[in-house]
Amino acid sequence: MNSRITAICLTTTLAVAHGYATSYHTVESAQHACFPEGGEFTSVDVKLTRDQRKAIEKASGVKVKDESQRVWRVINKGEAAGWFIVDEVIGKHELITYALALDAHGSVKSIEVMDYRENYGSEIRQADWRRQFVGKKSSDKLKLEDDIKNITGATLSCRHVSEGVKRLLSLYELVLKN
Amino acid sequence: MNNKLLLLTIAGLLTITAARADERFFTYVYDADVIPKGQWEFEQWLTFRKGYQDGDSNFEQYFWDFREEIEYGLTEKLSGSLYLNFQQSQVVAQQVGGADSSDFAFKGISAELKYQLLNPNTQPVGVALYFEPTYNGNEQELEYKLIVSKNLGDHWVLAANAVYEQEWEQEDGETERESVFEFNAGVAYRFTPNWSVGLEGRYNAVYEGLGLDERLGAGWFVGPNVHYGTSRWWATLTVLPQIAGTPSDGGIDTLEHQIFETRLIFGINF
Repeated sequence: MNSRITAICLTTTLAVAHGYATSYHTVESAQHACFPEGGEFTSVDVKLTRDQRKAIEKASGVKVKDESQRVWRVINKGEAAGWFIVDEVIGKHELITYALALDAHGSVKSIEVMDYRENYGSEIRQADWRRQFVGKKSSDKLKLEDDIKNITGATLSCRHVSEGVKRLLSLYELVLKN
Repeated sequence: MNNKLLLLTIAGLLTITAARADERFFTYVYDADVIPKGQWEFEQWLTFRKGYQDGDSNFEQYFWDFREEIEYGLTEKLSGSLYLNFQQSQVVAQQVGGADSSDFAFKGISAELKYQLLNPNTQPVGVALYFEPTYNGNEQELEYKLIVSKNLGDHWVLAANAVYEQEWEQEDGETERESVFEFNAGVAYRFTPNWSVGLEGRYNAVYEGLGLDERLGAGWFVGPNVHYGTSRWWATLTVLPQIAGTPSDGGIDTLEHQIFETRLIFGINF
């Protein structure tokens, strides 16, 4: 009996797959995709104080886990063109790295998925789904099945990216804008 | 022996290297999530059950139930599965002179259809319908489930099922008919993106006849579970002792139900 049980368990255990992350963009290619008109990207050292983190959490309803944020100010032909932010959220088990582009007024200009480590749910890369965020401001709900459509089978990825964008829009209003 | 090796080889071939799992947080309770359209999933089930043969504590009975399941997302709301069922059984006499026995058998094939009416992630409550026929030569079974579940945020998963089964067994020209009613429920808490712990409970009652006619025995089972999931694979383990039952033998039903069960399900998607 023990050898049969061992054989069945082993044949299953041997089938464990090696997962992989898919990288769709580097920082540079994401910057170009978000600002195809071009521009000068200047890295900004954003380190949030405890009060700033609490204010963003209160405004967005989303927890702020990291005190630092990767942000670039974008200047085009001498004028402020917007902001480029790289952020990470958990999909279901693994991190999703994405880039958010804001225009000079703090509205969403574009969103690009840079690294996707879950092995399904990558439909969030579809242009139709990402296009829902264009024009969103910090006052918008950014809620699944409300102003953001869900993708069946990728609910957690959709929800967490939506929450991430909401958090970053509050970051703009409370920290970057000034 | 050759047939057993062949069956094990088939089981092994079905374990194709895979990408990621549509995970289960419970092993006895179902939730209303369905595998996405076009996705395949393989699950290995391992259930250990301990009881008394015909309710006689002089003969301890052990079962190892193996199920190989292959599942496919037919549409966004409908999934289908096929199962191969195997069982290792053993009787150990507790008194000198009693006869021990051991047997390994193929226990037939099962099919499954699960249809999601409401999505537990996006609607106030998730609801799904489930149907599973089993065929094993002179034994046939039809199982129906109503599944209700809800995913609360990122941390909590709640589920409850109402289950009705009809069973037929032909022997010596006669057909024995039984039916089963079960109510089960579970709660799980994800304390990291990979780990969850939870609780599962079952009330299972066996009846003479197909229409829940005369109750032969009923048992209550409650126990903890633990789950680990990654983007590559997942596994869930439940431990489920019987805590009460009727007809009572020291407070539990030993005639129609086991005194202790534990189940491990390991899953991979591709």
